[in-house]
Amino acid sequence: MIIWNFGITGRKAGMHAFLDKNRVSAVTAAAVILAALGLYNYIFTGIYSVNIVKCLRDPEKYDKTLVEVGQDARVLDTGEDGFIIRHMNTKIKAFYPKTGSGMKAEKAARGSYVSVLAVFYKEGYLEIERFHIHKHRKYKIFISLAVAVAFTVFFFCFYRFDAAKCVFRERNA
Amino acid sequence: MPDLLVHTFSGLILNRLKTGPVKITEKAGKPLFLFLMGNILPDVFSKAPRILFPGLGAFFDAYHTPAGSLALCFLVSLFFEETRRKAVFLCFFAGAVFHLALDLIQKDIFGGGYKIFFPLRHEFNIGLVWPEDSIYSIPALFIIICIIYRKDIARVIRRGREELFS
Repeated sequence: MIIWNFGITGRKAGMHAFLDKNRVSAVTAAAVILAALGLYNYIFTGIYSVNIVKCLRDPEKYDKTLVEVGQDARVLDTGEDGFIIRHMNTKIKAFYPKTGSGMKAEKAARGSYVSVLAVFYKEGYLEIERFHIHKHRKYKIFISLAVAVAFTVFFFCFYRFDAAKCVFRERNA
Repeated sequence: MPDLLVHTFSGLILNRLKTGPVKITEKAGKPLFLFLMGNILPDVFSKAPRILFPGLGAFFDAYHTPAGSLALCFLVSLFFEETRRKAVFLCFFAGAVFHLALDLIQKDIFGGGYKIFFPLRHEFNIGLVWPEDSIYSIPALFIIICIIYRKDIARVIRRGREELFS
């Protein structure tokens, strides 16, 4: 009841933004707000967070800085002492810590996705503080992709695009 | 994020818990479908572009927040018929909020979380499971859905059989 059975039109609620006569301005406003939110996040995340691209661009400045490498980082190659990851189109070697052998028990395999919290050194490598292997991320992406495709197919089964008015209409309406 | 199948299954379960049998009103059109669409919308507009454009991840992350989802659902709803627009928006946004709420149970190694108060920078998560562990819950959720939707499934099968043999 809470979610579906509202059955209210934009007019009744006085929601002028939903009316056809205000549609162009509403679309423009929404697009501008979305762009502004995206830019805001991009700029401020860029300013406050440290990533490997920044570190490699200015190694002296970011020497011994803690870096977060997100879950879309991929292991390109592995060795006894660490692995090479690619993140944000940048490759970097990450070494397991010299102490704390417990971490070595779980070694990253080639091609796996990892999250890494590591210290950057000006010589151009990372020393891992903590890391997590996202073992089933590949399957997760495939499943999500299949669901997205299924939703797209269902959507066009239920709705058709009215190019003249630039709206989606229900097929059986 | 749990995968989109878990989000969809969770949405279906929530639908039954909150509303009983699926009710399709004239104004909302296909409310359950739209709610489920809203449920996957934050990931479709934030995670998918993030995979395609890794350097612009932070830009699209803004759409995986309540504020970003609100604007996104509003924009998408404007491409539906005028009489249904508000209902479509509410369905979408309810789905998106449920999606974001479900994402809060995840943990990461950085000790951060999701910016639920975005544009404020405070991050929060409950941190119970790793994001990819959601895959293990798919069989259990599927069984639950088969049980709670058994009458609807039986009706669809019966109708299909009737159409097939008529």
